[in-house]
Amino acid sequence: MNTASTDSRPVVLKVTELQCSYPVHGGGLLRRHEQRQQILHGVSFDLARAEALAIIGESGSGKTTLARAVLGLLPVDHGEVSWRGESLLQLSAEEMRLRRRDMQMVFQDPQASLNPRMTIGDILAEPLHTFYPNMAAVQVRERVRGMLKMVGLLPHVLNRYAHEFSGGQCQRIAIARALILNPRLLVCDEPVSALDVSIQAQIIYLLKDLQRKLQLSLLFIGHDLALVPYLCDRVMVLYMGEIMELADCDRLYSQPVHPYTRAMLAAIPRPDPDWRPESVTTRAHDTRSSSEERPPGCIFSDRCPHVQQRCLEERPRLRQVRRRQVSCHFAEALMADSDSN
Amino acid sequence: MTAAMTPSLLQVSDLKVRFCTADGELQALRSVSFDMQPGEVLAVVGESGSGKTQLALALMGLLAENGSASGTAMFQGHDLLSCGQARLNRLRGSEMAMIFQDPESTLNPYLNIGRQMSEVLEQHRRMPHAQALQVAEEMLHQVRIGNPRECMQQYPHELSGGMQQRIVIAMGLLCQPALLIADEPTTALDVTVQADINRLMLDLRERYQTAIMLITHDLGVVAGLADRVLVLYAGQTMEYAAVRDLYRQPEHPYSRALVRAVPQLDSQHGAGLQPIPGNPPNPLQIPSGCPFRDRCEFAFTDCTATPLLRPARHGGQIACHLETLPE
Amino acid sequence: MGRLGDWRQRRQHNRRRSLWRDALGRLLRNRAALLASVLLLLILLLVTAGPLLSPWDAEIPDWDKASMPPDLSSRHWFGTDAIGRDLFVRVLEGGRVSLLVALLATLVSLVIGVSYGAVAGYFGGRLDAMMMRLVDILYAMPFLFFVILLMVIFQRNILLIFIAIGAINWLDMARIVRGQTMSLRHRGFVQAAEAIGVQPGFIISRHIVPNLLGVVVVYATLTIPQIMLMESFLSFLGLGVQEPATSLGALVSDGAQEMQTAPWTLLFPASLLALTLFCFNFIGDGLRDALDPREHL
Repeated sequence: MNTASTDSRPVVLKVTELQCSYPVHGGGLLRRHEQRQQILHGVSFDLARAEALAIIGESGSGKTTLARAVLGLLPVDHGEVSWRGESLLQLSAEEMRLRRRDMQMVFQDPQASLNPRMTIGDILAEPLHTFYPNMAAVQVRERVRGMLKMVGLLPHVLNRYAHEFSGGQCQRIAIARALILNPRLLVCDEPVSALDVSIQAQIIYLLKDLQRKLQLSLLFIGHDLALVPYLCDRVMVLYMGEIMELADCDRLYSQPVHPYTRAMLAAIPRPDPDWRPESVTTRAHDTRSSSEERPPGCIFSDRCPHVQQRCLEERPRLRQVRRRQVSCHFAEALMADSDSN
Repeated sequence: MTAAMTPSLLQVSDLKVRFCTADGELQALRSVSFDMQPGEVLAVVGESGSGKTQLALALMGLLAENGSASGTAMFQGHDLLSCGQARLNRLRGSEMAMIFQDPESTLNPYLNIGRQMSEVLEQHRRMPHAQALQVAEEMLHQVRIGNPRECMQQYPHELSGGMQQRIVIAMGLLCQPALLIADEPTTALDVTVQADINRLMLDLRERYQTAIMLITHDLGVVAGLADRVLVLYAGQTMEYAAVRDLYRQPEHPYSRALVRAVPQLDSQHGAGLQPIPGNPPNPLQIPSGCPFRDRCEFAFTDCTATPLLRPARHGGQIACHLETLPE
Repeated sequence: MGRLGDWRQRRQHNRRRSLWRDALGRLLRNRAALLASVLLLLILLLVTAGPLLSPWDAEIPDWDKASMPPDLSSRHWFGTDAIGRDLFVRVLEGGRVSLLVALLATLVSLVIGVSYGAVAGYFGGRLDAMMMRLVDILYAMPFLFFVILLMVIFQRNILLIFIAIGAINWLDMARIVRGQTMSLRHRGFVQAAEAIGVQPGFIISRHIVPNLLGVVVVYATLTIPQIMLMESFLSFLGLGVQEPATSLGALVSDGAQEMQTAPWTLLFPASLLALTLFCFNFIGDGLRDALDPREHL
């Protein structure tokens, strides 16, 4: 677990009030008015150099949208993304493309992210050809081999194709590809969700090892809180496009404040036949469909065991409460509650 | 694990599944045997390539064209592997149902939920449309969907993954099948929803006495749900045990490793995450002898021979040479 | 199995298992496609080198031997046509012209159609809208009118014919490629390439095009017979190749006129045309099965 004090390190990525939406066609044959579905409702956070931040949320929380918006792969409605002091959203497509050398991504489905008709060697060499077109073939080969070694693969994979490898191996290849340009930022979009549980930890450890070695800033997107403390310094809990809680890892895990964080932690499955997940923490059913209106108050109010009248009327803002950020009207009360326990 | 007094619901003997591919014959399953009692939850656990999904597909008669299954699988007096298509069609959907990992691929995006569900009842139970809709609505209520009537009017894409999977489960249970096969039903879902759906399946088992075959790679979700566990590796049975025995005293090194691999926060199992090193073998290149040999921390000279499935100390079965060593 | 067996196994596993090789294997196992391929190769061989086997010339008329039925002793294996030219050589020559036109026109339509469709499909938005409106407009143009116009301006010329046909055919190819590109654009590896920062041109050439070649090749193979028929149609109308050069269509047209008195003048060219069309269709079907995206097995 990490107790990194991020105050000492310079901030490299600054995201401010990011809002994203998708166009959605109105139902029916004739009604083609364009509606938009809001995915992110104003997300803000910082990322320091060589820091690992986890963004954890359910499906529909907007975590993948956030990852792609930060890298300029999705259009953004409002807000600001600044990388090393430069605003990314103001750049043209070509200017942004050139910045990508420094900001790379690893995707959820390892096999799908590799071109089935290219050899692994070509896949790994592609980033080098893109940004260093004049690099000598010998150098390219050397870099590629070096990268393979770093992710724990043997050179014989170079002549093969993605479909010949398992999910875990493909993800290693994808990680090698992402790091071959020596980027400063690595965004991992659910990198282990598609892998067997027995293999997930291998990749987590690999990422941890590489992050330390290369001093990478890492954004880890996922839905499983159990893996996070072994990789990240800070955790952000995202729900329906809003940040619920943002804190240092050990603080969040030792003393979760937001009811949603608590629910997620309580639901982590245990290999114990007599353990049952606590049913008290999540009250109502997950019944909201995408076409419904957003409630005026707290977005978590219909599932929260501590809901009060104020929660239904007033939307809480993300605020600093004793060295963490929480979006809950009763954060102090909940903290005091768990302090006394 | 001897036969109980009541006749088994499902008795599988010597099930083998083979595929003819361009690169030669692929043995997805090599002789698996087990039984299921009415109302029992059996977890079939293994990594990718262990053959667990092929097991389910073989029982349902859904193997790909180049696949073939041998052995017997007695279900309600019929051998699923050799009875004709006509009988299988009658059984599928009404006595046996299967739900898959990806609810999107099960639900037809062009029909609303009500229509899809009523179709199942109209087909298998010859129910009139109005009655079918009512039964469907009731089932949606059983799977804890908040407003079933509204849900019936909606289309799959308007609903979250958790809701879709609940609907898929509801569809599977509409005809109150004796056996429900669930292939990684919660892998694509989030932890809170996962916990919810697991609870749901337990409730439904209570109510309808449906036997559930749960296929997964995650021993975390199995613990609170299963009665017995069948652990597969490279198409072979490694251990077959009651759930408590498997978690408290796993005898096979692979089972032990799988239990350890479940990520935990409070380091009950020692420091940090405990992956299993290496990768599961390519089904085309399964090593001789014990297939788990290269990843096993206890491998020794005997392991170059294939281990046989023997009765284990805890009353189940195990295929491991360590068992043969004197105490 | 012994050491040899192990080595063989190892060698097989070290070989690159490219998807193209897998597809080729599947194609060759399809008997109809295999037979059709062999037959097609024979036809190609025949139309190229066949005339060398015959002592007769394709163009010199011989009024004494007009409309003679097939006769082995005089080495007029297919007989002669209305003005005494050897039919065997003329049929082969006609076949050569028809195939050449079809292959070249397909090539033109492939090159233009694939690039146009891939660019429109990849970039989408306004560019795509404009590009496809152009295609719609061209579609609406009457083909025959266009051909006649070209004929009037440039005289009857074999080059013209395949340009004209290719120019019409690329529209279909462009539409198909655009559709495929639009679905490929969302595949994981294309998004990964964009995230890496690969330039759009390379994304199209390295990632999109190779992954739609399967569809394109199948479509092209099934287009060739279409084009041969189109060319035959033009020749039938008298708008095709100019005498004394000939094509299968022209021969069929001539033969149709002699059908009552000299049926062999219709039979042979029509049979060669039909046979060639069958071959291409079977190969196209076989390719479609071989290149089926179920290669993820």
